[in-house]
Amino acid sequence: MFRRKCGATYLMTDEHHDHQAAPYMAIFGLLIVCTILSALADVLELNLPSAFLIFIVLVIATIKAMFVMMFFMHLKFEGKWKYVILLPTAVLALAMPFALASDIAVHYYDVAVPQENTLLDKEVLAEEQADDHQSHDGHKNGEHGGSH
Amino acid sequence: MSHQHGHPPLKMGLAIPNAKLGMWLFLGTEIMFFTAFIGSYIVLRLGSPGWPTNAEDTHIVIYAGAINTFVLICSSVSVVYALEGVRNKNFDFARKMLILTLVLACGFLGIKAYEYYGKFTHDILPGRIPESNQQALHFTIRDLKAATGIEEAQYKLKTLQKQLGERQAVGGNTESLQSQIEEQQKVVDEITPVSNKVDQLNSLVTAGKIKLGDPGAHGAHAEGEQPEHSAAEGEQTMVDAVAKLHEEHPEYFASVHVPKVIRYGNLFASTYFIMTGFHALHVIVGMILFVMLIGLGSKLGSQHETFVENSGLYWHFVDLVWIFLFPLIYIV
Amino acid sequence: MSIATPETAGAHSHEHDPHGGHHDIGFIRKYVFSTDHKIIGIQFLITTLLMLMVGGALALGVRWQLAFPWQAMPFVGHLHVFQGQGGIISPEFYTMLFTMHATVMIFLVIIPILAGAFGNFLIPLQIGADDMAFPTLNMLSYWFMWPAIACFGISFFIGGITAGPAAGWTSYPVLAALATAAPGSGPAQTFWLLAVTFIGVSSMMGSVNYMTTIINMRAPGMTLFRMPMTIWGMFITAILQAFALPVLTAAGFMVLLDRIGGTCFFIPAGLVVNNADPTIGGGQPLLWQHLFWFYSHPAVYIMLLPAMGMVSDILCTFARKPLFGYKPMVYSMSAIAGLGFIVWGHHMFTSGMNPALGMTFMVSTMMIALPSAVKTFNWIGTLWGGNLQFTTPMLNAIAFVSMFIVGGLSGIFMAAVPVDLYIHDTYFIVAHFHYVLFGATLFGVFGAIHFWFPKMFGRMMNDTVGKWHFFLTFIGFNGTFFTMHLLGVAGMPRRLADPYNYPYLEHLLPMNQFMTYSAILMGFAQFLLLGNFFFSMFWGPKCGRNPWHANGLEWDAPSPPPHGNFETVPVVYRGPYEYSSPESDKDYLPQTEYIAPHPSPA
Repeated sequence: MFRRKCGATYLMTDEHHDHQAAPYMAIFGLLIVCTILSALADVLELNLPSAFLIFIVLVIATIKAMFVMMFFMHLKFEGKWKYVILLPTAVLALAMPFALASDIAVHYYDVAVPQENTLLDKEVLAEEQADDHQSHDGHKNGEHGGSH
Repeated sequence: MSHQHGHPPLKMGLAIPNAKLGMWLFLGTEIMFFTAFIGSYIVLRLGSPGWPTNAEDTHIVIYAGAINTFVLICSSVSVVYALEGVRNKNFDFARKMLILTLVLACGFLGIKAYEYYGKFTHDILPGRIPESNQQALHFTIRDLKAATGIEEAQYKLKTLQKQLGERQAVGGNTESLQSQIEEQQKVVDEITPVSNKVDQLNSLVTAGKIKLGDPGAHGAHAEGEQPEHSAAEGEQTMVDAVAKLHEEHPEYFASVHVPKVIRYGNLFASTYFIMTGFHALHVIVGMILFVMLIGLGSKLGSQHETFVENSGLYWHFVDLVWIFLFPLIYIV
Repeated sequence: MSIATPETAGAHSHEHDPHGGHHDIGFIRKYVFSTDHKIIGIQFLITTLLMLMVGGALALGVRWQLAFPWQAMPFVGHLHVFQGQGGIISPEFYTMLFTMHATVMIFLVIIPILAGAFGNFLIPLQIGADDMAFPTLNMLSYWFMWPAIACFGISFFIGGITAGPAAGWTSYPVLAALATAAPGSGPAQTFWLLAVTFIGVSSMMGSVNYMTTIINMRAPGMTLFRMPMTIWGMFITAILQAFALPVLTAAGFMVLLDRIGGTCFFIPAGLVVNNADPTIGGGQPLLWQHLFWFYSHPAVYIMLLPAMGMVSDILCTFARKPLFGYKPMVYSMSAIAGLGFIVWGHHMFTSGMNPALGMTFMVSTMMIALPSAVKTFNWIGTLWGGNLQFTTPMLNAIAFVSMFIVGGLSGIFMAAVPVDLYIHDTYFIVAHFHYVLFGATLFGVFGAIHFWFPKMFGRMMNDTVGKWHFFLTFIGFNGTFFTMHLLGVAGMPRRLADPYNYPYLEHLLPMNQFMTYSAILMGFAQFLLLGNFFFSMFWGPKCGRNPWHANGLEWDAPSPPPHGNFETVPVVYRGPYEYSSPESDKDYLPQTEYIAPHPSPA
């Protein structure tokens, strides 16, 4: 499967040096710029929607990670085995939080204290809360309360 | 099953050294290890009704995080130059680069230690953060009680008395024990009035007759928590009570503060410490690798190329983890 | 991953010079802290066989209580430590018994006996390597098992023998995370978690080593699709272990910190347990279940796939036929492994998990039946029309296939959410996983022990004793575990010290007594295996290189193989299952035998 690429790479490592060594400083600069960008995104208080901000900083982080992996870890110059090892790992690593999120992050049940929250109490509470403050951000559960 | 005839080639498998392949596979397992922590952090945070994001509460210093990112990126560069040095047989240069990496790693840990120190001094530790005013009151009482040392003193006294009884039953010499008991009794007598004050406070807390007050020194309250600095005139607050105790008995209570209420702070602290803690452990392991390489001194040679490369790979992985931890902890 | 160029091989060979410098090394280096994969494998094997007896003894304790509740234990009941409870099994002790039975059997027997013992012994031999890729790491992976055993041992005794870890092997929070939750099991549970961490480190080192060895150290000509099924089983197991186990290790650290570090990953806020102060926190107990089963369901396949591979080898050898459908076997094994990562939720149908997830996991779980069935049919296809030789390994291998069918089919029952709601946590599930773990895996292991014993020690095991052991175990096994299905359908819950408190379970007592008698028979039959094993090690009849006339590379090495395994580097010309081949005058055709090409008839 990997005959062409990997055999060649291993033998050619010596020849690689010249053009491998070159971009390190450039990559370094890029990484620094990325870091500053993501720090700025937070510090400047741009009043962006938080979801967008999270998206931006995570994209920046991913870009940084890609550069580190490709150049510092020399993955750009490796054989195809890199995909066999890293792609399934990446898929697993991404899939696990997603799978957990559907249960741990999204509740169809109530996370509040079990002993203080009998069903009856909760209904009474919900009515009271509905009167008091309808769309308070700290009450994500409220909207799921109906499913009980 | 194919019946392929003729003689097969000599070498099977990938054309990379076993050690490098093993290192990459190990890094795969490491990815899953950190996935468990980071994934848990993400889902717990999403699942929590709130999260402390106010830097004044959490003592998350974004500059420290950014500088640490910078430090780690620098060390990544230096370690890659070290590998280049070994490959180009420029071992002096490689050694210098390794030393530089080690220094940068120390710098990283130093900044990390500074951040941890901030959290420790403000008691932002898992299991120690009150999440409601009531809890804060209880915690204060607990800390005050512990600061008096009354329980230990009483326990010691009791043990001594028990020993005395045992010795008397056998008919042994009891003089030294009795003098010890007297001394211990004095200690207990000395503490008792102080600890009685704490008990009084405690009874106020149980009766609900004392408010928390504003732990003030560190600014605003956590979001979502109704601050009670509007304590009505004449109503006692715990902050005042503790301040008073400070004045009266600094020898006991100097270190006791009313803890600050941070809602969901314990979950925050738990995830923060486990992620950064295990990352720091990995940094230390990487430093051990570099120390081993630097310890080779002038013996560092081409035969260590794979070792240097693998240490470098490991170090880049440590860097990668931080690249993701930085936005996830400090910015989001 | 195919063949690299010969030039590369040259560039490569300086890294491991296989046969150079095997001086005489002392006894300690040779047999205790050995880096030879064969010694390490045998060390694993003997350790795990001893642990098997420990785990079996714990199980007999459980069975005693269920058959003769609140009666003084025979023999051990007279021991001083049990006098405090009048020689009977107290409920706390019962809880500890089944917890430690599962723990010992899973972490100290099945996983290490497959991956540790046979993985170590067979991988280099079957792929034609001189040793593992990282021999020192290999040694460490064995010696990291001992701290784990020590920690498990400490957890037995630290709170007195009757108060060990009692949260079940699944160790669900908040029971496991709060020290106040299970009185008496405080430090014991902490040591239990430490032990699991050590096991995690040991397995991680092992699996990285196996993967590297299999990928990179195969003999010339040993392409991936010429590898024996055993190697495929070990390879896929190593992958599962490497990528699932770190999650459990991480989760173990989290629950450990919950116990001793004040964190609250799995502890919800305001929980009052045993009149202690309300808990501080905001974590979620369900998170543990997810993380735990994310590892532990793949672990079920870790506990099965190597046995599947070894059984495939044994069946072919004694059916004198090629394996039916080699590539489908490989693909279905990979499919089982892949699907194994996305079915963990079927352990949590009744946990209060999101119902949408329950649906997803139900479907993915049912899908696993497909590759499993492919394998089963291929095994039967291998046997079909073969020249069957009913040796001890063959009997055990056939028992593997039949017991796997029973265990697999009962698994499909539980994959369905509505059925699972009824039989969850009853003895039906206990029957199911014992059929898979004991009925399948352990019979496979028994077969493998008898099959590769000649290679390990250069002597044969006694076939008559082997057959007695097999038949007694088989009868005892089915007497014990088939009955459990009936108990489960009758609604008897597991993990209950005295089910007869409930009138609707009272009539099950005679059945439980029958099971206990069967279990005792099965337990004592294992002494035949141990006796046969240790006797044959020293006094069994000597055997040649290839007593079974099998094809694998391992039979090409001397028995027992010397340090470095092969006299010359073996060269592989074909797959390992060329039995009764028309190209050879024997009924087997070793992988290394070169047959000059002859013009094929037009």
